Amino acid sequence: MSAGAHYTPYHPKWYRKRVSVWWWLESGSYTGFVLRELSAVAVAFFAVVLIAQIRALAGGPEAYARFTATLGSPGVLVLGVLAFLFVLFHAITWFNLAPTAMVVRVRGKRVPDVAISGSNYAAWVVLSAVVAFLMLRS
Amino acid sequence: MMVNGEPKLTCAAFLSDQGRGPIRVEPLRFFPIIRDLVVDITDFMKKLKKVKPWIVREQEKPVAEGEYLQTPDQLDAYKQFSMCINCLLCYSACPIYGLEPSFVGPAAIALAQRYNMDSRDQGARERLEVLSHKDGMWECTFVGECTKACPKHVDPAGAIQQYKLVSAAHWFKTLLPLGNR
Repeated sequence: MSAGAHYTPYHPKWYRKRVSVWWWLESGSYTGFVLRELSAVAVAFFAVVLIAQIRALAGGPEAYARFTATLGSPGVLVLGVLAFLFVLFHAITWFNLAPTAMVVRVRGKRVPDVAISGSNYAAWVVLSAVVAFLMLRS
Repeated sequence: MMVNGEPKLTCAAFLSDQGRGPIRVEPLRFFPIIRDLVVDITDFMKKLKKVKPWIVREQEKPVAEGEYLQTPDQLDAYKQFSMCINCLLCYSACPIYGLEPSFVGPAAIALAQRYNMDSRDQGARERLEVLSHKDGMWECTFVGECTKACPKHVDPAGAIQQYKLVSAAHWFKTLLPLGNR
C-alpha cells in the first residue's frame, strides 16, 4: 500500500444489505443468545417478588397471608414456573460461558475450562443446598 | 465469503464438505459490496489502526542492549490472539456489528488484547482509552458467534470478555483514594 493511498470513507452507491428485525431467528445460536438476554427479565421478576414479600412480611401476618394467597393463584403460579425456567436457562448458559470470560492461570498454565464452569456449578449446588436446609428446617 | 449463510474461509473450504448442492455463495455479510463478491473493508482497516496493533514502548531501549526477551510462558499468554489473519469472518458472524456498524468489532479488540498481554508492550493504557468508549468493548453483548466462526481459534469473544474484566477492574481502582487515575 502506498503512503498516499486514499480511500473513500463512505460510498452511497455501494450496496449494504439491511439487517432484518428478525435476525435473531436466523440461527439457533442467535435465538439462544436473545433468550439468554431476555432471561434477565425473569431474574428481575424474582427480585421484585422478593422485595414485595419482605414488604408484606413487614405489613403483619394478615398482609403476608394475602401475599402468599396471591402467589398461589393460578396466573401467578404459571408466571412463576415460566420465570423459573428462564432463570435456570440464564444460570446454565452463563455458567457455561464463564470459562471464556475468566482465564485463571496457575503457575503459568491455564486452568481447564471444565474446572472453571465446574466450580461455578459446585457453588450453585452448595448454595442451593444451604437455602433448602434453611427453608426445610422449620 | 458467506457459504450457505455461514461465514467461511473459502480458500480452505472444500466442495466435498458441503454435501449435495446447490451451494449459495455470497459476499461477506455486513460490509458494503463493491462488486460481485468483493467487499469494502476500509472500515475495519481504520478500526484496526485505532487500537494500535503494534508494540508500544514508552521508551525504546538502545539497539546495543539487545532484544526484548520473553519466556515461553509470556509468549503463551498472548499467542492464541496473535493467530488472527484478519479474514473478517468474525465481523460477519457478529450481529452487533451488523446492527451497529460503529462497533470496533471482534478482531480489532482481540488484536488489542494480543498486544496488551505481550510482556514487551506498554501501550495497554492507550488502548484501554480507545476501547472503553461507547463503540468499544462494551458494545459487545457476548453472542459468542465470532469465536465459533474463527478459522484460527483466536477466540475473540474470550478476548473481549477478558478485556471487559480488565477495564472494570481499572475503573474500580480509580474509585479508590490511592488508585491510579
